[in-house]
Amino acid sequence: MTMKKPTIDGFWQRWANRRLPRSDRQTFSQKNLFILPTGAGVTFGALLLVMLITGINYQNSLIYMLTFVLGGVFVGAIHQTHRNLAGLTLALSRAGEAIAGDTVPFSLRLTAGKDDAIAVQVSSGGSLPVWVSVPAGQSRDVSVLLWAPSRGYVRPDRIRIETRYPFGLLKVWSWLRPVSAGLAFAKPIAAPELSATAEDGESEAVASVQAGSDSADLRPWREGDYSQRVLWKRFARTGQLVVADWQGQSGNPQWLDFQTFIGVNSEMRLCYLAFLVGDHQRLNARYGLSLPGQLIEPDSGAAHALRCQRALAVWGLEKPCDPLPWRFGNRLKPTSADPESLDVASNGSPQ
Amino acid sequence: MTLRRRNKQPLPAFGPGVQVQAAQLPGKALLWLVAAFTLLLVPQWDRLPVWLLGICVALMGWRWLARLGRVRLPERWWRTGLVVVLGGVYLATVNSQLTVDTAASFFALCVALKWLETRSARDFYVLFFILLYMAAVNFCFIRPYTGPCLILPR
Repeated sequence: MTMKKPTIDGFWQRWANRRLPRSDRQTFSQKNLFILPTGAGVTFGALLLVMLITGINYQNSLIYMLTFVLGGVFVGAIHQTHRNLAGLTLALSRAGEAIAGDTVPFSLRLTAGKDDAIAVQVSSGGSLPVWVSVPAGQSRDVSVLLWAPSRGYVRPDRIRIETRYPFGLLKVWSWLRPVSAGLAFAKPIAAPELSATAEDGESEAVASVQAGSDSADLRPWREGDYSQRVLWKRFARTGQLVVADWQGQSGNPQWLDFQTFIGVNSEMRLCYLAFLVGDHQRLNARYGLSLPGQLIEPDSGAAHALRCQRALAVWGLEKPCDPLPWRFGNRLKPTSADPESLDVASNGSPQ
Repeated sequence: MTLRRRNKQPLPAFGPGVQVQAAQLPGKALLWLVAAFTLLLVPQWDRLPVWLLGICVALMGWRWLARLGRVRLPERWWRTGLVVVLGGVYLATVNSQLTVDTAASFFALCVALKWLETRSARDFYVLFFILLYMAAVNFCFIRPYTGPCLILPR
């Protein structure tokens, strides 16, 4: 992780984070909006200064007038740009799921306050910015795509919202620091052939543990038995109609076990298992998933596959959470559970 | 002035590393800039050298035709050549005098040459800023009214 050295950047980050507590929903106001001139704005300011000097030098009232009018426009632009984002609410409506190495979509909803929010740019980290304009009182949905390099929880530290709308001379920006995390599934990698034989042995092992649940009982044919279940070979040999009675409706559930792939590191094992889950889902087979510390009972269907993939995605990982949500403003009445108050109590006691 | 400024609005703000190509800029923006430059040239028609006026109109026309798709904007070497040649001609004509007059013609030349390098939104900002300063310099030629401004009743 980062070093705890006090830097200007770190100080600024902490200062900004105090104003923007982690939340899936953020309404922007003057407390958490930041505004600075852009490069063009700084150049414009320098130009105004040069024009002012020119006016002073030639004692030309018309140049003064032009300069001051433009200065007024600049000051007006500060308010206009700020008002563009003030009152806007940015909410994370859904943190998406995708396979690792792909982009995870984060659905966001922008709801404008009593003013229009025009040419707003939403982005996060290296993602491509999304442009949206929200008329007053309405809302728009956008989707920010985040690249997930590896499996696990995907939570952007910050989703940035920015606008330079009226003139491009100023930019106003802020962040949403979401609580919810998206998910990146383990990337499926074709499991080696070894898995086929290993799995057989493995399923026997499980069978023995489960007290012969997979052993087929042979019994005489009864009325109502499916003809597919009759062992016709045996019938041809002996003339007896014998039926194999399997446990369960669709045969022996296969167990996909983490311990199958001996000598492979755990990330690779998860990739193999993700592949096998996808494979079994395609064949509509019944299967269970056994991970160290987690057992998913055999089932089939899309919901089961999704459950297994989610389990594989987050195995061994902890859900990201912040140790202490700092509250903005020191005039709030501190509660006993508030770590800030403890801090103050220990530091602020007079000697 | 504010009209021209408001006209800059449709230029999409460029994010870090994202250069907005001139092709994406609305046509009206260029039209407004051309109109502004023409308006700023009109009061200077008797002060600027004829060749410079001609160059201004020609390069502006070039940009407009490029906008319409008739011609292409010049390549880098073409541009460098033009800057060197026109700069040389300019230096030869001003003859190392530094007056408000030569300053005004210098800005006219700057804008004229900048027309050929208007590819990104940033170039349009630069062009706009030069135009602003040119407007300020134009005011220097207006003879100030030196009589009593306001006769206060006693």
